[in-house]
Amino acid sequence: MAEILQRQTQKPLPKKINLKVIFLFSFAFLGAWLLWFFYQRAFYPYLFGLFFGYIMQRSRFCFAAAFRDIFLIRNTALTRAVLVALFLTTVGFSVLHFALGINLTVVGRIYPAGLHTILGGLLFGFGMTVAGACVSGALVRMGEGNVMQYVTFLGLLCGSLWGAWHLNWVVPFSIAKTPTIFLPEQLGWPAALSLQLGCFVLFYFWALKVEKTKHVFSIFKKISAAMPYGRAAVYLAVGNTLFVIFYGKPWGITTGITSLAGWVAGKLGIAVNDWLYFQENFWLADDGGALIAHPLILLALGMLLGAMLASLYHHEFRWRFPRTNRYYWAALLGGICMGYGSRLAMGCNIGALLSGISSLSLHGWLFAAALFPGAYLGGKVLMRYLLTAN
Amino acid sequence: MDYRIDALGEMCPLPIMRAEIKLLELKPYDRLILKTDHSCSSASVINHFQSKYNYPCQVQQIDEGIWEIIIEKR
Repeated sequence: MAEILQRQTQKPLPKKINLKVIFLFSFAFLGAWLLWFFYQRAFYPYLFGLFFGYIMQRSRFCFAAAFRDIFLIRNTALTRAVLVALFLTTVGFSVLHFALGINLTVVGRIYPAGLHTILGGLLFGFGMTVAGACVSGALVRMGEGNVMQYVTFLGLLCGSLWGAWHLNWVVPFSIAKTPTIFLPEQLGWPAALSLQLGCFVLFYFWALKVEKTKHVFSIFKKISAAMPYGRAAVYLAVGNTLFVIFYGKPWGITTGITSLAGWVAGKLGIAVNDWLYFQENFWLADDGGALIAHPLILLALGMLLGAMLASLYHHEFRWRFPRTNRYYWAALLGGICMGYGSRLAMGCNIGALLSGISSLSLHGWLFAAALFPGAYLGGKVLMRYLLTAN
Repeated sequence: MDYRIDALGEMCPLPIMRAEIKLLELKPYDRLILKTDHSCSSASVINHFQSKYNYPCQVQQIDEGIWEIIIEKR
C-alpha cells in the first residue's frame, strides 16, 4: 500500500531520446529517402504506414475490440470510435469524389459482395478475437515487442497464401458470379450517402444503449496517458482520405501481406505465378506491382516501425512473452483464420471494413455484419480456453 | 482492502475480464491493483471501469511497458 502511494507521487517517466530511438529514426528516414529515389510508388504507403502505426500505438486503437467487447464485457467505446472513423472516412471519400474529381468508382475498394464475403468475415472475426488483434493491431503490437503477434503474423502469411491459392476455385465458383454493388449506383448519391451516414449515427446511439452509459462523447475525453480513441479515429479518417490522394487507393494491408507470402512461397519453389490471384490483370494491377514489389508491403513495414518508434520514445517498448504457450497456438490459429478470411472477403478490417464501407460498397457492410457472429464465437473460445484463473 | 491481479503476458481483453470477475467479490471502497504489460489494456481497463462503472481509476507506468492500474470499487 505504502509502496503504491509512493509510486503515485512519482513523476511520469520522461520522454526518451536514446540511441535506440535515434537509430530507428535514422533507419526509418533512410528507408523513406531510398524509396523516394528508387521506388517512388511505395514512398507514400511507407510514410502513411509510419503515421498510422504511430497513431494506433499512441491511442491503443483496436478494431478487434470494437467487435468482441460488445459480447465479452458490454463495452462499446471502440465500436463507437470505429463508427466515428467510418463516418468521417465516408465524408472524406465523398468530398474527394465531388470536390476533387477523384472518381470513387475507380479508386474505391469496391468488390463483389456475396457468400464468400460473409464466410470471410466470419473467419476473420473469429481469428481476430482469438489472436487478440486484427491485422493492423498485430502489426502495431509487433512494433511494441509483443512476441505473440509475430506468431499471428506468421499465421497471417500462411492463411493468406492458402486463401490466395483457394481463390483459384472460389473465383469461378462464387466471386465471379456475385454482383459488385456500389450503393450510389443503386440508390443514387443523396440516398446512399444519407442512408450510410444515418446508419452510423443510429448505431452510435444503439451502442451507447447497449453499454448503458450516458457519457455520449466519452471516447473523445482524455482519461489516461493514451490518446483518446475518438481523436485517433479522426486522425485515421483524415489519414485514409489523404492516402487516397497520394496513392490512388484507400488504405489496405492484406493485399500487401498476401503478396509478401506469395513471394516467399515463390522462392520456396511453389508456382504462385500460375495462381489466379497473382495474375497481372487481377486485383494487383491497381497497385502497380506484385509479389515483393507490392507497395503495400512497405505500408505494413511502416506501421510496424511507426509503432516501434512511438513505443520506444514513450518508454513502452518491451519484449513481451505470453503467459502460457497456449497463446502461441491461439495466435497461429487466429492468424491463419484472419489471413484466409481476408482473401475470401477481399480485404481485412482495414481494406474491407474501413475502406470498403467508406467507398460505399456493399461488400464492406456484409463483411462487417459477419464479423459480429465471428467475434462472438471467438469470444466463446477465449473464455473457455484462454481465460486463466485469478 | 487491496487486492492484486498479475496479468503480465496476457492479451486484451483477458485482464479486463479477470478484473471484472474479481471486482464482483470485492466490497465498496476495496481497491484492485492490476498489473499488465499490454499497452491496450493500460487504456481499455481504465476506460471500462471509469467511463462505464464510474469507479475511480488511476494508471501508473511502473517500468518500461508495464502499468499498474488501481481500480476502487464503489
